[in-house]
Amino acid sequence: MVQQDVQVTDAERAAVEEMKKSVGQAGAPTRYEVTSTDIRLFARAVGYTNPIYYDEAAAKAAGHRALPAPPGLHGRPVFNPANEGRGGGGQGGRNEHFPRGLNGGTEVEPIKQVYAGDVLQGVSTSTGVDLMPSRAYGRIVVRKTETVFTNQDGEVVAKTRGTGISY
Amino acid sequence: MADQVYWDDVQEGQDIPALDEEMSSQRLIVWAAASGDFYQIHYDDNFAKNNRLPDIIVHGALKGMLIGRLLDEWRGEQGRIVNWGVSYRGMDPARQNIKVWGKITKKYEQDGEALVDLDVGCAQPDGTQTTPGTATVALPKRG
Repeated sequence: MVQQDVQVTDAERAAVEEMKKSVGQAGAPTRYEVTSTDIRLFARAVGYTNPIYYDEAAAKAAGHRALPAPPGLHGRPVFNPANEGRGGGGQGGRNEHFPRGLNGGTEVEPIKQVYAGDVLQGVSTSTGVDLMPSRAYGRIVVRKTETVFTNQDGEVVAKTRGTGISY
Repeated sequence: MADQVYWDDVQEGQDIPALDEEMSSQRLIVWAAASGDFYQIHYDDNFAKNNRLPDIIVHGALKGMLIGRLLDEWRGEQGRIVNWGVSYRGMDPARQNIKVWGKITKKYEQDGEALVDLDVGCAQPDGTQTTPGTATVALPKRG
């Protein structure tokens, strides 16, 4: 809902209305590869010390078939420079009118364990675009997205919901 | 992983073991590589300041995944994270520690599972809360 106290230009308002056309629509599926190297790097960055995330023998001794992905890791989108916005980090909803972006929030629903060697498909659906007032930036665009991750066996392994902010 | 925690032994209002995490610029670079988030506000001082930020800032998603680690290390091998979610309400400048915490708010059984709800979050050294959220974890019962 566009709030009346939000100060925006006509061009900015038009850009938001354009963004709203995507609400309810699922994007193209994105392929995510889950590698042992990425699991170790993610675990290192987040500070895990549990050996199951680093050592295959420890993982198997704990009953896993391969290195398990820590919760929240759903692989890495396959980067291809010929496929702009896919795997390169994207623009996160930023454009000429709202060129800067921030991450507004994350929800994770782990459903089934993800392992090294899995290949996931992620399908994201825009669930909301709202123009909001902001004390810091005057106005912001708040975008909500849900992504469903499915593994190579067709099993849903996780759902995530994200909030992106452009300003 | 820590010793197994059992549903029978936890109480509403109980704090779970917190994390005290150093948010060095190096760590943000490691996270950028791990996550694929190469937005320069997280590692380029000039870029951050030119984007109206006081300093490079901690990636929101890193804070979100630290909450995931907090829960993963607490649940034990027999526990299960049902879900967690956080809002990035405030920026955390790099080069300082953040405390990652959780407090049990509700203990109940539902659909055959023994569950606890928690408030979770990240706090700056002065106590400023930047990343409020909630979580649900299933724990094993004794016997």
